[in-house]
Amino acid sequence: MESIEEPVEVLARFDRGQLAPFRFRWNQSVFRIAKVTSAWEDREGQYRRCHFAVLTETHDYFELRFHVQDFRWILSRTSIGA
Amino acid sequence: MLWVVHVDMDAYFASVEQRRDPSLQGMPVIVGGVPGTRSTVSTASYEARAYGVRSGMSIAEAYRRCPHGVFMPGSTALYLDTSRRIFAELETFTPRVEPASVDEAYVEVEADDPLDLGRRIQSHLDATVELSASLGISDSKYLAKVSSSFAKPHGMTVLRRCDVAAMLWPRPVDVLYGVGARTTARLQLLGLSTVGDVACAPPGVLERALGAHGESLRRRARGEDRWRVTPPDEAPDAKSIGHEHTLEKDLYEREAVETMLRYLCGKVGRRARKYHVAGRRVVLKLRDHEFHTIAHGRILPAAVDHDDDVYRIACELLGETCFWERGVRLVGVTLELLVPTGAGGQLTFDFDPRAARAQAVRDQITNKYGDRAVTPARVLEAGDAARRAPHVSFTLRAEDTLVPEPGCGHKVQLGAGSARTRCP
Repeated sequence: MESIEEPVEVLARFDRGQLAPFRFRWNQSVFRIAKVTSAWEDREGQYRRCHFAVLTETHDYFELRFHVQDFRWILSRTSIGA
Repeated sequence: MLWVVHVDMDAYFASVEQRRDPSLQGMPVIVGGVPGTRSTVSTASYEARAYGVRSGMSIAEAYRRCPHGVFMPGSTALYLDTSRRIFAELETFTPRVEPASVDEAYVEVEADDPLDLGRRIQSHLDATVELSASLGISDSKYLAKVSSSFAKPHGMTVLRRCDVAAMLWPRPVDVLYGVGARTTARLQLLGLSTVGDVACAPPGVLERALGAHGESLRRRARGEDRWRVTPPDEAPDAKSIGHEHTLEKDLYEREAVETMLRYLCGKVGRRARKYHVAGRRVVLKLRDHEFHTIAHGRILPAAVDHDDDVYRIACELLGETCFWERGVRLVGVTLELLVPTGAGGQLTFDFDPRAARAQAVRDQITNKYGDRAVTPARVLEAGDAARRAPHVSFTLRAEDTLVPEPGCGHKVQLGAGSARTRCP
């Protein structure tokens, strides 16, 4: 597993209090999310962060992190290249 | 009929990791640390257990037994969040759910057929959280707990009080909750190797060997218990607050152990203040490299919740033990005999209002920016804590306050009037 920690553009759906990413762009490629395998939250101080472990349609594994404070998305880890 | 179901998640941390990254399915996953560290195994997947890897084993030993295993330090936030989801799913059956730990819960539910109830719970967890659980079902909470381990993984056992003699007594005595290796060895010296032997032991034998524990053990072996399912909103308040840490290497210097105490006392004090309690007893726990463990405590004239007070007492306790000479592997601090703080608290003669205000400011910063925002320089210099990457290190004084600042969040306003350090 490789640590990335890079900002990424994510298309996500906010629906009835739930957040679900379904597509993101990284390294000039667009990745379509086939399945969110895990979702969890933590806090850094008072700021909430939502984590998503996802499998793409190409069967690659990524972890995305959404910062509620400023609506930033970070690609935190991936199995690509590991 | 009212049933108690003990829901025990199978290889919980490892299963959560395998669910998070499906490429790990079928692989020996070992959660607790990576080779080269002195951590211990928190959970091993069933694939890793086939190589003899067990919870509590050192990572070094686990690596010797299973060098091709996938070792990972674990993700506490993920496990806790998943745990909350599991408990929420169990509450769809009944509101009477008592979480027993991060991966166990008791569920008290009315049902005609316990097997059908168990199957419904298991399939519901399979479908919603995609994790496997083993169940113990009984008309007694204690027997539910004991029986959940009889058929793992993804198994189910129904053990009624009336079936204890047939189903529980032939089993080895260590299936009883609270009977570890030492108690088992003592019982075997007495010729008591099965649960039935303990249940039928002559009066006085268990008491002489185990003290007060003997009578309660006999009751449990007979399937008699006084346990009740207690959902969180009916539970009594916490009795103690503690933190402990296994060190990367043994410490032989008093100052180095005190530095670790500084860090732990900060965590204990902050939790005590968060829950508005203070403790009248401070207990220091130390373990050496041969796994000899001591707990040394002191009852105080007045309850404490301030980091510095807890730290001062912990250092005094440490000085009384001279334990660092043996090499310290684990350090722990616990605050016990908790009393509520707040209005009406007794002030002591050495009460320092400036220190209390400085503590309040530190708490404000920590609550806003996280545990690592303010770290005593001593801890920062110790190296181990430095890897936890504190954002900023500085000394706060009583007259310093936290001031909102547009666009930045907050800055620390020094008593003298000028900003010296800005928080991230």
